[in-house]
Amino acid sequence: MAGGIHYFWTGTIAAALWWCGSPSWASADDPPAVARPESLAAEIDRRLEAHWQAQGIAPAAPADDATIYRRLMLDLTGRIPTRVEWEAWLADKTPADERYRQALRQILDGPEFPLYWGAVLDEIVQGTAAGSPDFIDYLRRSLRERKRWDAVFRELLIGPWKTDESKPAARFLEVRAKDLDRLTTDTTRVFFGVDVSCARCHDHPLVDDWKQDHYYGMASFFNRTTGGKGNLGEKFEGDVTFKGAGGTQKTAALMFLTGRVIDEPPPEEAKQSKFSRREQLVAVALAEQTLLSRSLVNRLWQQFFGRGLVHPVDQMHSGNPSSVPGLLEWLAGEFAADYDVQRLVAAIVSTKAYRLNSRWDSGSPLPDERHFAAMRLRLLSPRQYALSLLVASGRTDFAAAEARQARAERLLGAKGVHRAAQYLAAEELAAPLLAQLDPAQDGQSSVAEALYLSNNSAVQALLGREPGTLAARLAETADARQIAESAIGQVYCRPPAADEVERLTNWLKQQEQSSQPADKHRICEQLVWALVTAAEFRFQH
Amino acid sequence: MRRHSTCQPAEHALHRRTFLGGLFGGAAATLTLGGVSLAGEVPAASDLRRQQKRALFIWLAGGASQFEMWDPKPGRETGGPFRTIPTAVSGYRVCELMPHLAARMNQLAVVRSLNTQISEHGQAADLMSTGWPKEPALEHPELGVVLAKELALEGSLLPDYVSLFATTEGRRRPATGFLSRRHSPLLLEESLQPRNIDLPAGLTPEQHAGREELRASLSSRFAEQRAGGELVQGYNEAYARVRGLMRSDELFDLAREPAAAKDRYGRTPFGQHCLLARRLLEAGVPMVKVARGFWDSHHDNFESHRELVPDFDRVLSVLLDDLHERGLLDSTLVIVLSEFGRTPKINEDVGRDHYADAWSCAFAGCGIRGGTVYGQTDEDGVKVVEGEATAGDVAATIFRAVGIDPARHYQVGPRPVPLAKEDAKPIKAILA
Repeated sequence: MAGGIHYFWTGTIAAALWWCGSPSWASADDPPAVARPESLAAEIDRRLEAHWQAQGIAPAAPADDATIYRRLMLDLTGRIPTRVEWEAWLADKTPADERYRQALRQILDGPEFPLYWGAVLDEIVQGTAAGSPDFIDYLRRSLRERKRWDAVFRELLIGPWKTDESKPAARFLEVRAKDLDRLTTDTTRVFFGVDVSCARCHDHPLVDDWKQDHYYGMASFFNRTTGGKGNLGEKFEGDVTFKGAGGTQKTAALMFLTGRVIDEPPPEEAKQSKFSRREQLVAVALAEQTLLSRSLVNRLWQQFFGRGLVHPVDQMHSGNPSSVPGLLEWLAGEFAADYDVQRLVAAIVSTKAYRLNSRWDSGSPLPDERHFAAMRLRLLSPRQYALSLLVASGRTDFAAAEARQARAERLLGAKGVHRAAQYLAAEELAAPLLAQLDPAQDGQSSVAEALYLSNNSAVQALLGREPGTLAARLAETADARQIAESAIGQVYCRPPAADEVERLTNWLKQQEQSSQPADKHRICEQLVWALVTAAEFRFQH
Repeated sequence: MRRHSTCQPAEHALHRRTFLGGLFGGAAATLTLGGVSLAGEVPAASDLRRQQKRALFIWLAGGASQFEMWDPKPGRETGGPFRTIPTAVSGYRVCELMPHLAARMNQLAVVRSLNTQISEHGQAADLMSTGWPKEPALEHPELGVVLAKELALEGSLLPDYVSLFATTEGRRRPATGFLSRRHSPLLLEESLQPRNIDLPAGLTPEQHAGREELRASLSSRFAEQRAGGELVQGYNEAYARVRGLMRSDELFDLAREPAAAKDRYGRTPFGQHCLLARRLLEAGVPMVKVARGFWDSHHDNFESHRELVPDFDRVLSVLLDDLHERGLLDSTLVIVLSEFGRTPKINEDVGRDHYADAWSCAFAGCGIRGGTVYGQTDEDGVKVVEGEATAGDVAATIFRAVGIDPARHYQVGPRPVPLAKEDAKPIKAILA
């Protein structure tokens, strides 16, 4: 298929540019037809401002520098910045916009972005089946090579799965191959932002768009898929039949969600030409483009704003339009020009909207979250929270490479290996915590997490006093005021405010007086515990 | 990704106010209930507690045989070796392995006419424990999770749902599905004590409280005037329950039960679990689940049921008596359910395989008309011939029994999802 070759080439060129050391985004190397992230960001802001004006909304003020940097690091690398990192950021005297651009470029080009976002995309794509290290690494490599989303989509659904690097891409199908229902539903939800499962038994009762024909049409793209782990295949015959309205038996047409029906060659011919229904799905989805691009843009928007432009993200249909009219449709169109995830991410986080305050100081009532007029608090994901706990408690410091290491990396043209190894080590340390922490999806907190953090001995040990940890360093500090300032800096990634230093100092003194004999280590551990379980740390803000 | 807006019934709102008034009005109460003492901020609303409805879900994991329990077919090829005995309900006979329950049959309602079709463990367990067929894009919450959410007293410091199991077979964690994880049950898995309720080593209770005070005040301050500040409120509420749960370690401590009670329930795991269940229900935990495994008798069905059924018979009988003696049976719905029953055909290993076309379950207590036997199977127990009931019907019956309208719905995204499936009908004949 010509389309396939085209996409293959764009991916390869991008990868080649990457390895030549060209800047990986927003560079002059991008095809001229593609808008740079800054201009996309400006257009997003223009549209949002027009929307706010129409709604009579005055948005929140911009967030302060320290908050922005923490927000960006959490969203792009999955962890809070180290003290060294945020202090360098605040000390940098480059004009604000340019400084932000530089930081963003550094993060997007750095090793941590693909490592973290591989795991993010895994959760988006795999849902409850997420967590396979091989599949995550496949996505990480794809991001690192700057493989485009259409190419990833293609590889997940039709391969080729011939090399060790590409084999894990089959996992999306493998874990679902035995269950046509799930394969159909998950594919449409994840890649096309549409939940047609209600249309399985009858035309969708709530959404006019979705008929039984759509559900079974989509199922038809998968009904010939055979095998499972390691031996996925496809037959050249077999149709989906279903009981339609009035109980009549119908044979499903090979029909995409947009209603486009694919003509099929007769069985004999199909066999000879190795006619693949899954290939047809990929081809039609790429040709129709709207659903594939809108679904990912909407899901990424949710990732950065806590809510999709269309909400929920698997309910894209005519009765549930984008809450900011036209924005999703336009941005998806831009994304479909090259399906470059990094460019899309850069565009979204470059907006003023992404950099708004989560504090709502205005006297007017807070506008509904669907207007994105303030940055709404979001529970950190288990991964973000666990990695950040490690940074805050001093268990991992993400220190810069030593001179010799840095030199070796330069010699081999393998910049970032040191940092990637640090990240993977942190990820291993974080792994046992993940299942104990509340998922971010519904923003709700369970008492199980609170009990775990309050009383579990492994957690207490993690925050404990071993040499090098924050608690140990604080305990060596003589002055209570200094302890307070230092703890706030390390945990909250910002300079302390005078009144909170006062409060913490008083708390420390009070603890010292009430515990006999005073155990300074113990008190510092408790201070660290209180700071990392408090909302400012537990939430993205 | 999914959200729901919950429908709080008016009476819950009322309870909440009553309770908050009690708690924050400065009435720190000490509540003593049959050996369970909970010092501190327990609602002084004993009226509320008395009218509180509860449920106990006894899950016979693996699939108990209806032939060796509720629906024997003596003398038939499918019947097996056991005889039948009369019960307190005239004309109704059960398997001879259940003499104690036979004598208490006027407290029980039996449904002998389940036809639930799915006979694979995982899928059938999902079906029976939620009342819904599996949907790819919508995970339904387990019945216990829904009951816990609906029966919970807002602001209670006790867990809303405690789930215990005796064996690996019962080790299915109740799914919260599209409901928030806030409603996850407290799981007793490795031991009968919940995890993470002990004070960490080296900390005094004062230090533990001191750091929590700091955490809470920092959090509240942070949340002021924030977009999404209400999420912090929920977050703080989760932490606020920690102390109550830590104090409830006594609640889970069977050593505090008199030896006579332990002997009465029997020193089997199932017996001790049911004793703990009674202790929890009495203290005000609205929902408890006890899972009992080893029912999957593909081999030597009769040998295994000869062991399992008498234990079940004795323990459930003691439990019913105990709940009754403590005045709790009228407010506690007891549900006995499996994922399916067992085949009429006795296989070559003298076992019975999975069978979902005609099998039985039982209820007692709150909202149940004791002494009713509903539905019938044919003479070999192969088909339901009267009163066919589905998984949805069972769910609807359960909700109705504790006074919840099964047609009430949760809003999941754009879709209103009723508590019990749209076509489900409560089995009125067994409801009081």
